[in-house]
Amino acid sequence: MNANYLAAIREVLVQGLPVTLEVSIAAILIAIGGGVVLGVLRTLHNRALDALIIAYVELLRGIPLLVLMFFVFFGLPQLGFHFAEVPSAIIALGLWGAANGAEIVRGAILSISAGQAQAGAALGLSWFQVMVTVILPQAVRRMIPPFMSLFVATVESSSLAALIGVKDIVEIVRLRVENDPALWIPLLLSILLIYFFINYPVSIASQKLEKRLA
Amino acid sequence: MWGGFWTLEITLTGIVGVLIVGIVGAAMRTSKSALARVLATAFAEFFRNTPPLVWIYFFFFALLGIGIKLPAVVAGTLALVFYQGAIAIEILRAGIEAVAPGQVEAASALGLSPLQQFTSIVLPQAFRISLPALGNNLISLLKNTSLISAIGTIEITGIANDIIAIKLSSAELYLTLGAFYLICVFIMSSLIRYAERRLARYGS
Repeated sequence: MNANYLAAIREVLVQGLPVTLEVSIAAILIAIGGGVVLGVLRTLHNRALDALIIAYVELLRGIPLLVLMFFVFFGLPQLGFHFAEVPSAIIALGLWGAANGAEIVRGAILSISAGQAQAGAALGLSWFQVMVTVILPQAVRRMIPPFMSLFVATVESSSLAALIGVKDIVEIVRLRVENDPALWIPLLLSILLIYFFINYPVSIASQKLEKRLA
Repeated sequence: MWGGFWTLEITLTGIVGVLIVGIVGAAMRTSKSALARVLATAFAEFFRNTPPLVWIYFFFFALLGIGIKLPAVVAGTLALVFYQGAIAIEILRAGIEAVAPGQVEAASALGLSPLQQFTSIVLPQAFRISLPALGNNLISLLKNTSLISAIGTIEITGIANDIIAIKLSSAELYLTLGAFYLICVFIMSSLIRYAERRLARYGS
């Protein structure tokens, strides 16, 4: 078991971990970018736009991420869009994250007092200038803790990519144990620890920051 | 559509499990005993920072390796109860800490035992404070039951995958599947909002 375990854990760390991190980081970047755009658009109070964004957010938060991932990977090719495993996982996780990010950004902007925007407008700044130079710099501080929590959720959810064949740390473990079921316990415990060591510091930092802002 | 029935069945069993884990864990997390606090904190932090899918594999495949054969439904439900329960511990702990300290002092002045203070004074108020977050956690439990499809064909996502493997037409079926979850989530969140309104009558 020892030699097999060492070979397997090496493969997990060298091949699987970079994939897990790549999928998670690409997805959180899409989530932050998409979240800021959607969240800022919500503050325009345009009825049609609001309805569209609310529908998007409720839809993506109302279905399981796994169903979304299956749809992107197995369903979209039928409609003429083909994506490989890793891009499919990133698209699904990113779209899901952007829906959650939109709510984070909207909440943070709403928490900034209306007087700030009025003062900016009184100084003759355009809507866009007010948003970029007055509101967002203040709102960013309030976005950081929830975005850190979203990162933790994204890293956890990146494990679903294994189910569409992405060779992340979960899939490598599954492939490895096919020949040697005795490795299940040591390998699963090892990857649980990997996830824990990535997520725990982020989630503790998020809680600390949140307390300080409150 | 037997799968839909199983999805709801696992969710309902899971809700009971999550509430039990959450209440016991949160009581330990806020208790006077250091050992109980450490145990509950370790449990909560470990489970909520690791993916539920890996826990499902753990309870199904890893326990099989040491001779414990759990049916896929049981392994899946257990894994989700622990993951979602760990999150519930944190939510209820915050709720318990938000109950005014005067409440406990008044209860102990009335001669209530520590257990009575917890179950009849602190917990009901903490539950009301925590309900919105707790509701989201239970909705997330419903969505996460789809992960059980990774270890067997029981609930609706697993059954949909099987049908797709035979018929090879996936787009419509996944859209239908999505609609099923959306409707369930909508019903659940309406129920939770109704409960919030009802309970708000008692609160400040």
